[in-house]
Amino acid sequence: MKLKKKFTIKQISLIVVLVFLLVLLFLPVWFSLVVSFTSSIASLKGGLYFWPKVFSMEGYGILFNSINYLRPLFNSAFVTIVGTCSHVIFCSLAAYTLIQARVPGIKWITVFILITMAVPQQVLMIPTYLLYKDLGLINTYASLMIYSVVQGFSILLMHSYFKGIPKDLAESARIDGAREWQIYWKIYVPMGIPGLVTIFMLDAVSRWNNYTAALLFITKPELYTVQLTLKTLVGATEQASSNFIIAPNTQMAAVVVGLLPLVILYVFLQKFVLKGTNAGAVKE
Amino acid sequence: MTSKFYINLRKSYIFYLFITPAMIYFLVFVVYPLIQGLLMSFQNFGLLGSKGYIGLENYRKLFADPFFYQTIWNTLIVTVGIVAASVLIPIIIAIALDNLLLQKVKKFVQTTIYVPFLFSALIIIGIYINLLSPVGPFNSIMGAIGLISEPIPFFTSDTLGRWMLIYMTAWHDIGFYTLIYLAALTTINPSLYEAADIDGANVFQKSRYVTFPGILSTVKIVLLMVLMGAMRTFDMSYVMKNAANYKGVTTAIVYTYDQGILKFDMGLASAAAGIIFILSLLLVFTVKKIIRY
Repeated sequence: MKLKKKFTIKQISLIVVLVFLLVLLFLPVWFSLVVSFTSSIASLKGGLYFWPKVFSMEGYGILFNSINYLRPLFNSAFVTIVGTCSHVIFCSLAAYTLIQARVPGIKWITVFILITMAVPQQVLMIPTYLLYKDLGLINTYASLMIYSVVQGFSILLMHSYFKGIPKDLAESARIDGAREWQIYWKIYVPMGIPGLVTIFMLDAVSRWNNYTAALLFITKPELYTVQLTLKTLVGATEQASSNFIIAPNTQMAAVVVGLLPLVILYVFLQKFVLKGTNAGAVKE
Repeated sequence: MTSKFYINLRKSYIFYLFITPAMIYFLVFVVYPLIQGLLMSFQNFGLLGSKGYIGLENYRKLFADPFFYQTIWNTLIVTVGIVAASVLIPIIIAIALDNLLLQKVKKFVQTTIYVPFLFSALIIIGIYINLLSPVGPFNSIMGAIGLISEPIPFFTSDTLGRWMLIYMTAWHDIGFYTLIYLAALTTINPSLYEAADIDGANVFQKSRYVTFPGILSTVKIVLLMVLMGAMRTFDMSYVMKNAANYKGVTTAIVYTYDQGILKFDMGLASAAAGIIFILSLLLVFTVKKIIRY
């Protein structure tokens, strides 16, 4: 009896602490949401309130009518969809090759990929910029799709997934006369779905959120991504020169709309993401 | 032997085709810029291209710039802060979650805690500029209850700016690493805890002898991941830096961007990038030795 009481107190206090932590984590996000639904004047005045003081959609109106936020949303979505799908295809094909122990030179290729992983992209910023300039990729969608379209980390993750698939399946398919691309497409891709979704999600997040590449490669306003547009809206330091003041409600509307696509994607893929994180942690 | 090798080679052409996109990417977009960067660091490389080799002049100029040391120092402090927060705090949360018996609550916390990991540096800075601006909710409540007489300048002070950089990065990371630790915790064999119970171990003994050894290898991986990520901090630092806080928040990578892209001294920027690369390799190597990974 005594033991049971102690046990429940412990459980309840655990829940209380964890819920408190979540509130602490998400309160800042809530305030952004509240401000985004506040009228411009009220949002400029500021203050502490947990519910819009003067409810209004003004911020969203300005965002989509005067600032034309749809264009950056489209740009980011286009680049993310094409870039991330290519990422998943290229990385999984490479991973499928790496599990073929009989292919001559495969060990050296694996070592080479591991070595390239030690090079941080940020360190290569300047020569990368020059290279993209020489290739004529500045101010193109392609630049943002190509940037980190192949990642050693994703290849290794898929490699560990594919390794877990029984080899007999592929062998018997080969004996039945299946081509390699058929084996990849009909056996490895369906069985590697949790891994594929994991690298899809990770790359979609980093591509949608990518600021560095957009900063380097994009200068034309009509090609601005969501992140570049957010910088002009939120990075308040350079606003002194602009003609009209962007009120906090518009800024927060831009933030809310900017984070929404990934949160929606996460809601759909959440099961896979959690599983993938587990598998990744266990396998490493 | 050799004939078998050639048969394998002929059978394997399709695989070489499969890995070609990846190899092209690595050669063109990683190896080439790496070599190019190394060569540029020995050239007088400006807006219009190279004006010839100048030996170690870029490195001499770099080491004569006190601000470069400042940015290295900033990077180190920020890295230590991020590593401390992003490696340790998630362990505590993960252990708490692991002890939770109500599966629904556990699942809910697990799912929601990941969400900040989806936010970009710009989104996070936007959220915190709103929360911490002079008229924002935080300064308002602190002023209202009389704890402060003036708004705290979170984004316009170099020391506070550095704390903000650490705090916002940790805020972004915590959920993700909590999930990784949680996955490691669930792999610990429950019979170990039962055995410890039978031996009469208390909570601390159990964490010391069962939990900690069980997640140690994961802690090491997370430590290295956070370490490498923190040393590469660019977005957050670049976006939040302004005239009032740049001394505290400019990281070394941002220094290379400023020198190379904004001031067109790409030779100097490449020299800086090379030094940063070597320093980060050294740091990772040292940490690996210390934690015996």
